[in-house]
Amino acid sequence: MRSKFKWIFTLLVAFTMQFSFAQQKTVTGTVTSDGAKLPGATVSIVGTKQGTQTDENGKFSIKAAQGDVLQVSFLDKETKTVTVGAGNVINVTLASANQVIEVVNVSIGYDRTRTKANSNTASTTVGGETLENRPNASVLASLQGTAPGLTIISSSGSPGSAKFDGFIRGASSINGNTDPLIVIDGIPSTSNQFRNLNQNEIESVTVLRDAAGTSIYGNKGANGVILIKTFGGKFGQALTFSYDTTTGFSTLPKNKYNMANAREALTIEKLRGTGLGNNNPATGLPFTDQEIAAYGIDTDWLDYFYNTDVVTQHNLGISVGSKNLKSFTSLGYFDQGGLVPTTDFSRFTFRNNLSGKSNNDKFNFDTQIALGYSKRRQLDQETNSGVNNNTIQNPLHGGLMGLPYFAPFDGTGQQLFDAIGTNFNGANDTFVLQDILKEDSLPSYFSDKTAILNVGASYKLSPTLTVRNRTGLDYKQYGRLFGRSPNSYLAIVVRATTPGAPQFGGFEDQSTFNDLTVTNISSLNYRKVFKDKHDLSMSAFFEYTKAHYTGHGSRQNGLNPLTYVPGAGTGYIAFNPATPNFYIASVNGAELTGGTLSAFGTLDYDYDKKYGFSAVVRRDGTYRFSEDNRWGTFWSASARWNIDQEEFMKNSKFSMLKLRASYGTNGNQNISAANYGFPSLLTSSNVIRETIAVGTGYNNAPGSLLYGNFDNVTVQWEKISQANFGIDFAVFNDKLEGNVDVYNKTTSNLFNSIPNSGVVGTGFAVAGNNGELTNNGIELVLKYNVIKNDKMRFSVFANSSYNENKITALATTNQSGVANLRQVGNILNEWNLIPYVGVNQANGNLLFLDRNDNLTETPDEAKDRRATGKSNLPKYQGGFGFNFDYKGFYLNTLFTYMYDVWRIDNQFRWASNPAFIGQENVTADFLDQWTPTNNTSNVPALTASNNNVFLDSDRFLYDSSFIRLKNINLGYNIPAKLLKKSPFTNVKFFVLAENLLTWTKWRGFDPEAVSALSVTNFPNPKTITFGTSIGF
Amino acid sequence: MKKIKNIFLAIGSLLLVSSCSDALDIVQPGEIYRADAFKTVTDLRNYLNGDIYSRVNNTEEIGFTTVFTDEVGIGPSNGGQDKELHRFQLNANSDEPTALWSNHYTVINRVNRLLEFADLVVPTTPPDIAAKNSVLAEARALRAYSYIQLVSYFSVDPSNPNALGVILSTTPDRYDLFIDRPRVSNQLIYNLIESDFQFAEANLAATATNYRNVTQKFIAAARARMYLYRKDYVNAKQYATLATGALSTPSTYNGMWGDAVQGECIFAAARPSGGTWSNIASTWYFNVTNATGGAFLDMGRNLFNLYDQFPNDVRRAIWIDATALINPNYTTDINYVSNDVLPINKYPGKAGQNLRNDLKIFRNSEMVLILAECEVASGNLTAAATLVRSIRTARTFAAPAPALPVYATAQAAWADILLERRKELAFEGHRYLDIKRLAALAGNQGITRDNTDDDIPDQPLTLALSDYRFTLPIPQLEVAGNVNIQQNPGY
Repeated sequence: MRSKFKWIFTLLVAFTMQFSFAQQKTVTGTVTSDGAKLPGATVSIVGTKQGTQTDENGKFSIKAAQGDVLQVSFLDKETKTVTVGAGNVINVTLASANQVIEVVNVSIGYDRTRTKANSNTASTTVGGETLENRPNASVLASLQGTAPGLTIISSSGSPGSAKFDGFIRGASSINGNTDPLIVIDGIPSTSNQFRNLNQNEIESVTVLRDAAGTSIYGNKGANGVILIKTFGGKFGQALTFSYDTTTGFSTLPKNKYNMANAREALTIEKLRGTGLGNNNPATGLPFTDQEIAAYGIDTDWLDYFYNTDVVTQHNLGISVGSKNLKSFTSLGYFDQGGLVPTTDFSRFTFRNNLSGKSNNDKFNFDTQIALGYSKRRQLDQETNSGVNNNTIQNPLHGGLMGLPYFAPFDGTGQQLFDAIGTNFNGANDTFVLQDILKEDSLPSYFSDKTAILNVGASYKLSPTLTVRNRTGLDYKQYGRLFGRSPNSYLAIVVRATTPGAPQFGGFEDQSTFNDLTVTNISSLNYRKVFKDKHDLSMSAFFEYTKAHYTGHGSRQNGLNPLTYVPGAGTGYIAFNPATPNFYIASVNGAELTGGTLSAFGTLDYDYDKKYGFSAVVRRDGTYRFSEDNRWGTFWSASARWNIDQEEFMKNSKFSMLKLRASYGTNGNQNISAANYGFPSLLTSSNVIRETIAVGTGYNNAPGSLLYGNFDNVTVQWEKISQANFGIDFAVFNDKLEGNVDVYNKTTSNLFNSIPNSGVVGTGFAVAGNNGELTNNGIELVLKYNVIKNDKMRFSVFANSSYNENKITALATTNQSGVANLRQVGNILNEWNLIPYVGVNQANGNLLFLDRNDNLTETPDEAKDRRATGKSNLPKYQGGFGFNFDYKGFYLNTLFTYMYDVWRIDNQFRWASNPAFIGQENVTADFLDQWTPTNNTSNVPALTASNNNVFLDSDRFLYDSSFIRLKNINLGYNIPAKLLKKSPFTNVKFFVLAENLLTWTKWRGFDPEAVSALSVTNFPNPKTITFGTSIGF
Repeated sequence: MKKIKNIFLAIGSLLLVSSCSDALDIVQPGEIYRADAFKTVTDLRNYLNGDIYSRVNNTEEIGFTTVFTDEVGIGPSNGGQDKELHRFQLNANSDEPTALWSNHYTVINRVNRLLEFADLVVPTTPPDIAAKNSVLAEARALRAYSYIQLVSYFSVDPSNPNALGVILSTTPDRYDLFIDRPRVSNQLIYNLIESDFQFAEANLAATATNYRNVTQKFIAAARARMYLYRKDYVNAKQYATLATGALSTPSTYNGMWGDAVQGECIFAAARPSGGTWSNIASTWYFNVTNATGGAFLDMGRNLFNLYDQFPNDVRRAIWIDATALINPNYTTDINYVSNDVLPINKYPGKAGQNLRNDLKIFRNSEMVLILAECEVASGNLTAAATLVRSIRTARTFAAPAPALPVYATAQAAWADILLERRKELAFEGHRYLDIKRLAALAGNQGITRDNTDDDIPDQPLTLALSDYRFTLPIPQLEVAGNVNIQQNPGY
C-alpha cells in the first residue's frame, strides 16, 4: 500500500517540475447579454489577481497567456469561463441567470466539473428550480421523472417517510443494495434517507449513469450516482434575501375497489349466510329486503379516519459575497400534518455555505454546515411490516375494511373494553382502530437531529498542480418513542386478560441511535494545456470512510395512568418482587463500525475540444470481506468526439453534436440491502467470521450460548460492468437539444440468497455470490424551445427510458413453487403464477389452467405455475412536460410515467375474499356473484369451494403502470418595473399541485410502490400548494 | 504560502499512512469465537441450553395435525386462517411440513455442532468427564427424538426398514452449496437413533431427573414411541413399561395443563412466562382461550360429541372452555359458526402469559396406550381393555366408574385404542400419525369431521386412507437447494 502511494506522489511531483510560463499577450473582446452590450462585467484570469471590467460598450482588454482561463461574470448573470487560445479576440455572451435552465458546467464527481461539451459522461443535470417549493419532505420524491434511467419509487406517503427506492438503469443486484449513491457537496453519503435536507437549498442535482461517470465512485457507485450541489453565493455580490412561503392541502387519493356500503354489505352477508345480514338481532332471522332498504347507518370509514392535511413551508435564503468570501445561508421550516390522525412531520433546517479564496486565487476553501431537526409521528405500520395486514393496528387497511353498517364507537378505551372484551369480530376491530388513532393512545414519535459538516480546501502548488482535501462529517441522531398508553384499549385488554391480572398496564419504549460517518478525500491534480490544443489533466485520490453507529433503548412495562405522559418518565411502575412476572423493564444497546479505503487515479485528455479521452482506475478495500477478497479493482475508459467542432460541420445546423462511448466496472459490497434509513455500510458487518452469541436460553436460563454467525468467507465483491454509447446534440440555435444513450450493464458474482438444504441449519438459504444479471436499455432526452422571445417562452421536454433485465447465469435450483422467479432466462422477480381463467359457468367455482393447459378447479401450487414475463420492476419509465412563460406568467408541468409494472393487489384480494364476509367489509362486486341464473358472471360464487383467493394465481396480478401529473406549477412574477419603487427585487405568486391527476388501471389508492405484493401502503397524497416568493 | 504548502503535504501524507488498517480491520464489539466460548463443561451446557433445548418443540406437529385431521372446525373469528390446509390442500409449498422439517433439522444441526465444540473441552477430573458426557447424552437423545419425528412424518412407511427415510446428518454440515444430500433408508436413520439412545442411556447423570430436561424416562418413552411406530411391540412394551408411571388424578391433571404441577408428564418442553417463546394456543386463537378471545379455530364437533357423552370426564370439564356456546341444534342453525362455538382449552395459558404453556411431549397416558397396543398385537385383548379402562378411570371425577370394555375382535380393540388416543391425546400432535398407523387395523376409521367443521357446508369431510397426503411432502424449499432429493409420491 504505502510504497504504491509514494510512487504516485513521486510521479506527480515530477510533473510539477516541467511547467514553464507561456508568453503573455493582450486579449480583447466584447461581453454581451440578451443581445445587448454588457458594461461593468468582471473579466479575470482564474488563479491570478489580474482582472478588469468591461467599458460602457461591453469591451475589455486584458493581458493573458495562452492556456489561461478567463472568467467573465456580472451580478446575477451566468458566470462563464473561456480558455485563451491562439487568437487574441474573445467575445462572450452571458445568459441571464434565471434563463439558465440547465447548469452549463457538468459535475462529474470529486470536485471535478466539465463543460457540457467536454463531458464524456451520460449524465443529466436537474436545476434547483425543478425542486424548489415542492411540498415533499424528501427531495427524492421531487426527482421522479426528471432524469432518464432514474427510477424513484415512493412507497409511502407518510409524512417524512424514508421509504424511497431508487434504481438507476434497473435493479443491478438481486439481494444486495440497489439504491444509487447520493453525494452531497462532494461527500458520498452512506445513508438512504434525506428527510432533513431542505430542497430549497439545492442548486442542482446531477444523475451519473454510465461507467464513465460512476467508476470513479468505485465501490459505492455501482447503482449509479446522484450528485447534489447546494447553493454557494457569489463573489462580489450585494446582500440579497429571498423568502418563500407556501401552504398546501393534501387529500387521500381515491380507490376503485367498489367497497360495499351498508346496504350492500348486509345484502352480501345475507347471500353468503353469515354476519349481521344473516342474523337480524331484532328478529333472529336474516334481514329482509325491506329491512335492508330501511337500514339507517352507513359509515364511510375512510372518510371518518382520513383528514385533509396541511403542508406549510417557510424558507429564507441570504446570499452575500465580497472579493474573497461568499456565503449562502438558509433557514427553512417545513410542517406537514398527516392525512391519518397521529401522523405528522415538522422540520427545521439551517445551512451555511461559505467559500473563500486568497487574493491570488491559489488558496480556496469552502465549508458547508447543515443542521436539521425534525420530528414526526408515524404509524406503527410504517416501520413494522408485521401489522401491514392487521385491520386493528393498521388504519390504512382497517379503514378500508371497516364494516359500514356500524356507527363509530363513542367512548374511552375502558368503555370499549367493557363493551367488547377481547372479541374482535364484526366491526369491533374497527372500534379498536378508532381507539388506537386517538391522540397518544399508541404514541409513536420520532426525532432526527442531523449535522453535516463539510470542509474543503485546495491549494495551487503551481499553475498546473493543485492539492485538495475534503472532509465530511455526517452525524445523525435518531430518537424514537413508542408506547401503549395505560388508558388505551390495547393496554387495558392486555392487562385485564393477563393471567394474574396486573394492576397496571401499558408499556413504553425509548430508544436513541447515533450514526456518524467520517469521510476524508485527499487529492492531487495536475492540469496543463500543451501547445494550445492538448489539455491534459491527471489526478490521484485517496479516500477514507468510516461509519460508526451506536444505540441504546429501554422498555418499561406498567404505567400509571394518573401521571403517564409519553416520554416524560412519569408514571413508571417499579418492579416488585411480590409480582415477579409484572413490571419488568428491559434495556438494550448496540454498536457497529464499518469502513472502506480507496485509492484511485484519473486521466483526462482533450485535443482541441474535438476529441476527449478519460480513464479511471480505482482500488477499493472494504472491512466486510475476508482478507483474500477484501480488495477490488475497478476502472473505466471513455472517449468522445465533438463532431460539431470539425471543419466539415462549420455550416451545419448543429451547435453541438457529440458522440460518447464508455466502458467500465464498478463494485458493490453491500451484500444485503439496508432497511430504509439504515446506513448500508453497516449491514452484514461480520459475515466472514463464525461467532458465538450469548443470550437467554431454555426456560429463560441466563448466560446461555447460541450459534451466532456462520463464517461466510467466500463472499466477495459483486461486479458491475457497463458499456455505454451516447449522442448529445443541439440544433437550430439550440432550439432542439437532447441526447440518446444505449447501454448494456452486466452484474456478475451476484449477491444472492442461494438455496440450500435445511440440514445445514441456516434456514434453507445462504447469502453468497452466484450468477449474472444483465440490464440493457435505451434512454432519450429531448428538449424543444418552441418559442423564445422577450415576451414569451415555451418549451417542451421529455425523457424516456426502456430497461430490460434478464438473469443470464445462476446455479440450478428448483423454482417450481416460487412466486417470483430467479432463474436463468427469466427477468428478475418474474411472476410465476397459475393462470386464472375465470368462473366455471357450471358451478361458480374458480377455473385455472394446469401445466398441460387443461382447465382445473384444483391446481397444484407447486407444479402448475408458469412464468408470466411480468415483474414488479418497471420496464419503461420517464417524464415529460412543458414550461410556458408569458409576460411574467408561467405554467410548468411535469408528468411522470412507468409502464409494464405488475404487482399483486393484495388489498383487493382481501376485499374479494369471501371468508371475510361478516367480519370485514368487502367489495360490492360480490353482488354480481355467479348464480345458476347469472352464470356468465366473472365473480365466483360466494360459496365456491375453491374460493380461497390464494396468492398462487394471477387473479390479482394487476398492471400498475401509470401516467401521473406529478407536478404543475402556475405562477406570476410581478414585472421588475412595477417593483422599482418598492424594496423588493422580485415578487412571485404561485400555485403548485403534486400528484394532481393519475391515469392507471390499478384499482388501489396509489399505483406507485415497489413492493411486489401491495398490502396497504400509505398512499402518496394529492397536494395543492399556494405560495409566494420575494427577493429583496 | 510555502508554509501552507508544507502543511498540506504533511497532512496528506499522514492521512495516507495512518488510516489504512483502521478502516478495514474492523471487528464488531462483543464478538466471540468458538475458542473463547468453549472452555469448560459449563460452557457446553450453556450451549445445550441456549441453542438445543430451546429449539425442541412439537408446535408444528400440533399445528399441522389439528388443522388437517378432525380436531378442529372453523371458529367465529376466522378470516381465512388455515382454511386451505383444513380443506386438505397440502403440497410441497405448505408452511407446516416446511417448518417441521426445518425445526428438527436445526436441532440436529445444533447437536452436531455441540459434538464438534465438545472436542475443545477436555476435562481431566472424573466428575468433569462425567458431566461432559451427560451433556452429550442429553444432546444425542434430543437428536434421536428429532429423527424419530422426521421419519414418522416424511417416510411413507416408518415400519419398513427399507423404505426411504430422511437425510442423515451427523456432522455440522458447512454451507457447501450445490451438493446432493440424498435421503437414506429408514434403517440407517434408526441405526443412528439406536446408537444415540444407547450412548444417552449409558452416560446420563444420575441427577438428571427434571422432567423439563432429558431423563432416563424421556429416553425410554422416546424409544417406546419409536418401536411402536416400527411395529416392534416387544421393545415397545419393554420401554413403555420403563417410562410410564401413575396416571394423574383429575385435579392434578387439571393443574398439569396449567403448568402448576408435573402430573403425569414424562417430558415437557418448558415455555416459561416472559421471554420470546412461542405460544402454543396461538394455533387456535388470536388473544385468549375463550369463545370471544379470537378463536379462528374451535373444537371439531365430532370430537366434542365424544367428550360430551361423559359429563363426569375431566377432559369434558376442562378442555372445553366454560364460555362455550353450545347449540344443540347446530346441524340446522345456518349461523353455526358463530352460534356453536367450542373453545379449545387444553392449553389455558399460565401466570403472566396468555396462550402459552409447556409443550407436553411425552406423558404416562401415551405409554399406557402404547402398552395397550402391544397387548393387542400379542393377542391379549383383555389386558388391552384393562389398560384402556385405566385411562378412563383416571379421567373420571364422579361416579359412575367406566366399565371394562369387551373386545370381540382385535379390530374392535384397535378401534377402541384409536378412539381413546383421539380423546386423550387430542391437540398434542398424534392424530395424523395415529390414523395413518391404526385406521386400517381399526376397520377404516379415518378422519371423521362433522359437516359444520367448515364454514362452507358440504366440503370434503374425509380423506381416503390410501391418499398420498398421509405422508408429508419434502418441502419445496428443501428441493430448491437440494435438487436431486427424492420427493414423496403424489407431490
